[in-house]
Amino acid sequence: MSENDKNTEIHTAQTNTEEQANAPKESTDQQAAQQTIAEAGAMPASATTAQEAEAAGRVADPQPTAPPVSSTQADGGARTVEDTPRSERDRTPAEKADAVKVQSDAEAAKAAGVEMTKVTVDGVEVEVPKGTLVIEACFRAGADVPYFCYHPRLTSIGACRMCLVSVELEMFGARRESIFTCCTVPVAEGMAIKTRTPEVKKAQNGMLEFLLANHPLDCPICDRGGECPLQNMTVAYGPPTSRFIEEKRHFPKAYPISDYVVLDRERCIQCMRCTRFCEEISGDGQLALLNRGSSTEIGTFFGHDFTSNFSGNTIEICPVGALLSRTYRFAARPWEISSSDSICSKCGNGCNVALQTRLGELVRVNGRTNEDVNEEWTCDRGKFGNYYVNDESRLKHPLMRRADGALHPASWDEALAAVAERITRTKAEFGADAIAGIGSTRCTVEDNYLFGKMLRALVGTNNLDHRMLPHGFEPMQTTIAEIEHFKTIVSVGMKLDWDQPIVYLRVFKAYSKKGANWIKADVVDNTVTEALRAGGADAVLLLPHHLPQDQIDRAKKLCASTGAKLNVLLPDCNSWGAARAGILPDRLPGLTAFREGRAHLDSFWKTPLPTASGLDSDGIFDAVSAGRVQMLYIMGSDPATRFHDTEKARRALEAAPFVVVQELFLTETAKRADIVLPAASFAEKDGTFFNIEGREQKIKQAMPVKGDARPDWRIVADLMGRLGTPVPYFSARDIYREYNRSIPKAEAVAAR
Amino acid sequence: MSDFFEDVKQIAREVVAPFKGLGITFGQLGERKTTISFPDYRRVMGVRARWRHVLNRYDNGLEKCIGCSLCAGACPSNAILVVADENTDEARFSPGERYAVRYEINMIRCIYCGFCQEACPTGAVELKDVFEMAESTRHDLIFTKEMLLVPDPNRERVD
Amino acid sequence: MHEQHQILYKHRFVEGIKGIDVYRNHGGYEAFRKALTMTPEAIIDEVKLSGLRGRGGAGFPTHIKWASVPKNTDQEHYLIINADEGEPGTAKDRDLMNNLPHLLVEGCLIGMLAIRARKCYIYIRGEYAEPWQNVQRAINEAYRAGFIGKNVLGSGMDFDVYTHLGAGSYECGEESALISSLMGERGMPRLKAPSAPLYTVSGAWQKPTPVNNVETIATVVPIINMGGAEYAKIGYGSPRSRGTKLTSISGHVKKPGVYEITLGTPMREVIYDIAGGIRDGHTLKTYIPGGSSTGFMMPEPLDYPMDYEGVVTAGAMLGLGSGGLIVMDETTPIVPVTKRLVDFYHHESCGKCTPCREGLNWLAKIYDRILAGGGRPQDLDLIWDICDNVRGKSFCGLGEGAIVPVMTSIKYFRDEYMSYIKSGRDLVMV
Repeated sequence: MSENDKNTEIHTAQTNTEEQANAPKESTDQQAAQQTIAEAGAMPASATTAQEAEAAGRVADPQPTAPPVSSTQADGGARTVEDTPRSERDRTPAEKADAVKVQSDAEAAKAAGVEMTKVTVDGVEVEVPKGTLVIEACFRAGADVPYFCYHPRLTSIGACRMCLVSVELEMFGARRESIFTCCTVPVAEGMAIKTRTPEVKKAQNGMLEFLLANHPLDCPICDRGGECPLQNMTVAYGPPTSRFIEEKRHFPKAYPISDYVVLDRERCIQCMRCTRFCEEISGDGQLALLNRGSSTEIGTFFGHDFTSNFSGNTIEICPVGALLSRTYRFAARPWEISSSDSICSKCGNGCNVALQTRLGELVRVNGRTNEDVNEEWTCDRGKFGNYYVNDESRLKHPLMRRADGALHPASWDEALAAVAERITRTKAEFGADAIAGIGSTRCTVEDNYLFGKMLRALVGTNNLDHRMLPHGFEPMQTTIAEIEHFKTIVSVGMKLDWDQPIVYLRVFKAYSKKGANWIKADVVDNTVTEALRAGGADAVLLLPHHLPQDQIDRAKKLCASTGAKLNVLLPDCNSWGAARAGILPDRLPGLTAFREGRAHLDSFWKTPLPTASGLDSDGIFDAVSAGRVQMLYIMGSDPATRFHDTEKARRALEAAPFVVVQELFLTETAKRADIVLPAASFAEKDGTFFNIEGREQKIKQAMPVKGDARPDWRIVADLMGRLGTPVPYFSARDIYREYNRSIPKAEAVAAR
Repeated sequence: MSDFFEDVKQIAREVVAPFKGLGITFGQLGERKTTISFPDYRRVMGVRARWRHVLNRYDNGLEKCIGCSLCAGACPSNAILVVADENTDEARFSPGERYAVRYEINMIRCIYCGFCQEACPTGAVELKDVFEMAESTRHDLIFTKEMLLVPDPNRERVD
Repeated sequence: MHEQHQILYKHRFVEGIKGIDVYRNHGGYEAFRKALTMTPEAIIDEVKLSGLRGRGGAGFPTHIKWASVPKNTDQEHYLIINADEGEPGTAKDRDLMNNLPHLLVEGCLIGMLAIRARKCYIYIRGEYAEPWQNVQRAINEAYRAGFIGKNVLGSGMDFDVYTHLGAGSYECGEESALISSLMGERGMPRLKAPSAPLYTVSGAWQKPTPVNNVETIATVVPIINMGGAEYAKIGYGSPRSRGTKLTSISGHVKKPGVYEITLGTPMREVIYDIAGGIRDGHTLKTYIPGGSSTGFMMPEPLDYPMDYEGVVTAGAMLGLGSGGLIVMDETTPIVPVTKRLVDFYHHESCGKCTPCREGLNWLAKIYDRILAGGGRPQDLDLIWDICDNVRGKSFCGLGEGAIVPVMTSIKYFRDEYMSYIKSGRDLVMV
């Protein structure tokens, strides 16, 4: 295998050799530059098509008439000083995000009244906050500086030596100019920074030649190819050919270091971004540099698995293809992907992610920057756990329980007609309260709102709930971003980095960078009390939703007495949204009480609503077992496994005369249903999620719906039409608008 | 007077003309034919003829294609689809880590520009002189990897 | 011949000077007693008068280093002694620690007084097991004699001296890497001013931690004993290079060894008189003045003063260095010597920065190829350009130092390289 494996590599290496040995020194730069594109930058990164790739190559090409800079560089083929800077299009998304982050930080600092320093970058004068790094000043001036190890959220170490610029400043009483790595030097008043002098060009050229000396140049089979900073920088700043004719460093390729991450040590350029991420951001320090000198490699201690819950981020910040995703391995090339901005569905933190699909399958989930929620990180659950949307075992057709007692595929028309008929019949025979609905914390606000509207306005019952635990709701008293400013942080009963990963990152940031106290406890006990007393108003208590009610009550009292902030953290992606949409027996949309909201809704929905509070989920299952509720309509929820008393839920499901379930998979609940309607996943529909802090965030359809499934709101809307009310909903946006108008205005409530 | 002779000449020309024309026809009868009886006879293509693609193999039978999708990226008419997967030691298709599990070219979309051949880093895809690609449905003109791959030399020897 | 002062090595050959009793009989710990009566500022002033400069290689004035330690903080200070002597050709600290361990301990105590530190860490390179044993024995004796420990000599001050054995990395001789290694981290250099605070302000564990060389700190003892002004009179060269320097002379000389040489002594005297000259029947071909990172130098000029300034004016690229004079006669083939040095630096590179990690790796491979007979004429330009790309761009001094012997060897011995490249053989046949 290795014999053949080397074929491609040797092929390129030989090209180098021949080029080096045979080509006369006078070979024009243009020829040499074409060589670059052929081998080193096989695909200019961020180019979306071949034409763009060509264009990108052309930008990097020096003018054929331009003379080489100096004789020593002639065979190295240094680029000319007159090179145009890279256009915006030639940068990878990560690079653009870094520049945006730097810009916004500088503006925020200016707004906050931080002392500003004036420097000139390539003759452009910019004002930056005092203490800013030179590289950030360069970004702010719009200058293009190549870099690998610098990352705006990590401490600068100056390891890659790529961001060398010429800095002119007062030193030891004289004004002198020398070359510095601009990611480590803070600005000083009157600094003159030059990013495009011949010395700088020569240095950048030299550094890239060094970096590529041991880099395997297997871009065609590298998943990073096409969005690779090293590729990008090589096209823009690198030497056209390599003079390295020796044997390259070899390691076994594609070494899996965890279930999610695969490591290719040959490609690693030892920028230490991943090790710094593990030390500074996720705090587990699982990746480290091993060995030294030219045999330095990245690895885990003693070959342990890379078990961090944030390992996926190292893939995203790796500037080469050294750390790669196993789930995305060879799934697509970056230019074949269509990406849509969405929200992660795996927990309540509501990370902003980009769902990237190819051929109708989700291939990758990347973090998106939102300074208020996830900064730019994601957890592994979000990054690697959302592939369930591709699962082949998902329901693709409606299922109906036929005469033989088994579930059989049916058409939508048949299934919906049966449901509508059953609803009408049950209502006529047993009254509206013989029907009960269970909404979902994993469906969108729109789905839940329409579900509630159907049961309340069309069926006429308040037997409506979504809770799987017998608890009330406590809104978070701070936002996620505010947590990092507290001096005392107490987390109870959670493995925070797994249960609430993004909250954990904030807590760790407060703990490691801002010196906060972080107390972890199993229950609300005296330790917690003491810590909160000591912390006073500068403390925050983080509780999981699943704590017993008496613990939550105790914590509430405690926080009220000490002035600490209490955050009860909900588990699901739309836990808060399901409540907001009014899927509670005694609350209307917007969590409005009946007394305040009914008059408004009566006129808005144009039908009188039932007056009494309905049954909550416990009550519903009791009533089903007791025969008072004849029909159960469950949307996107799995009480047979998720209800706090699963036995009770299962008994009720067995006992219920008729159960309708809308689901993605044939869950335990769905197996006990009479009609199962296949629903679309979060990646296949538009909608709105409310995260744990109540932040409203939109999800967008990223891929076509699997099989014959439909978005939940569309199923409910169809059913509403069959129940006698033609409904004017064509998109989730229509429903969202109506949901907003269904919440009585505060002043209207106050006036009542 | 002269008009009379002119008329006679004219008539004579017109009488002769068909025979002259036919003379060319009959003259050509003896010449070598330009058209050939296609299915029975095939013309030898020029060396640079660019028609149907093939996917090449190495001498040891492994596919040259590494599934890098560069051909698909270079294709101006978006006619190529590549889906890659990972080689394992049990199931090895190409040298290295990556191979194309699906490789499809839509031959009616293809404009035979040869960009894919240019872009290929391993020389796997090549436009050869085979041009007989008529099919009766559009679907049949999507050529799959099995159709494009050249036969495995080792496999043949074994048989 | 210039008179050679014996300041550090005054009692070097006294029988049993390793033991505390003999050491005290020869005036040991008197300087410390004297220093106890002085204020820290007075000690620093005394050092300032003496003109003492760092003996580790860089020649940074010691009093400036000590004066930059913040005075009015309640933070703990530490004094760190750099005994990670790894420079090829240098063995002066080993000799000093082996034979005069108490001089080092006494110097540490005075240094601690000067910077108000109460704890001192001596970072000894991992291979120096014997010097470590001697230093540790001396520390133990000093503890027992009451010079270290609680309430030293009734002064009310507690002193502690610890030794720390490195794990065998040349890079840890670099101050910031030494600090990292001492803290238990990977021995890689850290950012220095202006990117980060001076380590005399915020070094190990974010505390003020000046790092001094063994010889520097030992020299403080005679300075306190004889007075700074007196010490400053010693020396024949530049007014900025005063005192004596331990120099380990090795190579093709008749009397190799560690010598205490008064700064400013002409290099010719050092080689031909102190070291006894080149072995019989041979002539000087080249020499490395102060540890391999100072590069090769030619026999002419040789009459320059051996001190911090003189070596630079004579053309050395990195100054006096750490005092490891390597003398080579005409039988020495330069290309294998350079290859050996390149291999050393390649092996010792920490791998943090690109030019050092990849550049030295590349150089090592080119030298391998040239020695194996695969050299090409353009390789010399290539080596020169690689060195040029490393120079001024590597993170710390290791990369800078590594290319100096390479560049100087190409500068002076181009014909030997060409011989290798053309015929695969060396010009020098032994």
